[in-house]
Amino acid sequence: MTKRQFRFSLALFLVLMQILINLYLNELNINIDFLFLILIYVSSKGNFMKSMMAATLIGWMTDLFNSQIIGIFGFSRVLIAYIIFEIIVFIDFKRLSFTFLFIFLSLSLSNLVASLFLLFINDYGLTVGMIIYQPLLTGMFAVILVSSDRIKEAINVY
Amino acid sequence: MERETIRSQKKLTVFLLILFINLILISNSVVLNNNRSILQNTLHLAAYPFQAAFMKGSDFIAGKLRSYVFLKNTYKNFMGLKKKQSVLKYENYLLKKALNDLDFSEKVKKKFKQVLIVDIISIDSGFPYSGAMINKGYFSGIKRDMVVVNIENELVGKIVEPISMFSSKVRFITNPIGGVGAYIEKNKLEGLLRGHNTHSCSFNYLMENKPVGTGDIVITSGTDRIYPPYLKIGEVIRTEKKVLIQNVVVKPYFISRSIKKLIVINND
Repeated sequence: MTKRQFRFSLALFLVLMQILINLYLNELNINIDFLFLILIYVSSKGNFMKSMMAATLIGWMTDLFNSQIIGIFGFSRVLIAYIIFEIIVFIDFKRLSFTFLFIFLSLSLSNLVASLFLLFINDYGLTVGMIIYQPLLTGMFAVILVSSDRIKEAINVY
Repeated sequence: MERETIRSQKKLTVFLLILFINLILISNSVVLNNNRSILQNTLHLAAYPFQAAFMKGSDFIAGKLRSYVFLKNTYKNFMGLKKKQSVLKYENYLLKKALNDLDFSEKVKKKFKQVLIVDIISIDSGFPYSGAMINKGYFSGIKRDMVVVNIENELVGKIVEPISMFSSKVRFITNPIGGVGAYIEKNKLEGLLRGHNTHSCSFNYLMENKPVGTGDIVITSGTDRIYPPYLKIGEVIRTEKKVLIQNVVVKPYFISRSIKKLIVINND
């Protein structure tokens, strides 16, 4: 299997996982944003247009899964993708702690923006699950994922 | 350096554009109190001036067209109504006339006990001013010496023999046989009026002490015990003074009116 095929398979796996997580969210009580990991990967590759497109699509998918109001997560993911694109050169993905921190902070910031929109529109209020737990779990999952040499090699993280 | 700036500006533009698209999508999903989304409200606000201008314009044109059609129809209706009014006026005139005639008949009926309306069926062509035959006889109650007037209540003559079952004879006052007790209405000068088988009659034995002029009205006096008093006979057309008496020629009214229908009065 080539690197490209592996990356595609990995992305597909993450999407499927996201669907499963959202289908059984109430039963599992685990909330991880797998799609955000795809976004981080695409944004870190340095192609601005691809990054924006990916952020938009991933944001809209997240909207479908979470808020039912198309555009909220689209907006927040595009915003965070732009920031990631601008600061990605300063991030050292070789250090797992940096990777974890980066994913935690960026997802937390993105979810905060989306939560503010939800607060404004539906009076949902800010939830700890969205701003703390989900970024934490997602960051931990990313660290686990990057720990694998096969994956490291496929996504060019050394 | 400059190329780098343009590139970063392009990136920023794309970024802002995508954010803007997302904001539009959000605004489309957010429903306000009036059951419309923010996007719908914004579009409505943007389109409202044009919509209002179009509606006012179309209302104005529709109003003008309506007024034009209304005026056209009104004029047409007006002309139609005017036509109807003319017809009704004419009808009213005819009805009034009929009512007057009816009133007359009613008055006559009240005045006299029995009234018969008869038609003339023949006139003697040799002596047209002497008399005529009518279509009612003793079967209808016609008797001798009944008074005959026209529909204007002016004296025509009286019933004479022969009287059959369904016809009888009327002797006109222009007939030389007999006479009518009459006087000049103006000065109560009384005399006997006789016919000459012509269109006029003349007074016999009328004293010349009171002047009589042409146009004076002559009415029955009732002294002959045949004709009732106060029936109009005619008007004076000529006068001629003689010794102690004056010759006065009277033209009866019935001569110049239609005598197709007559009224027979029982003057008991």
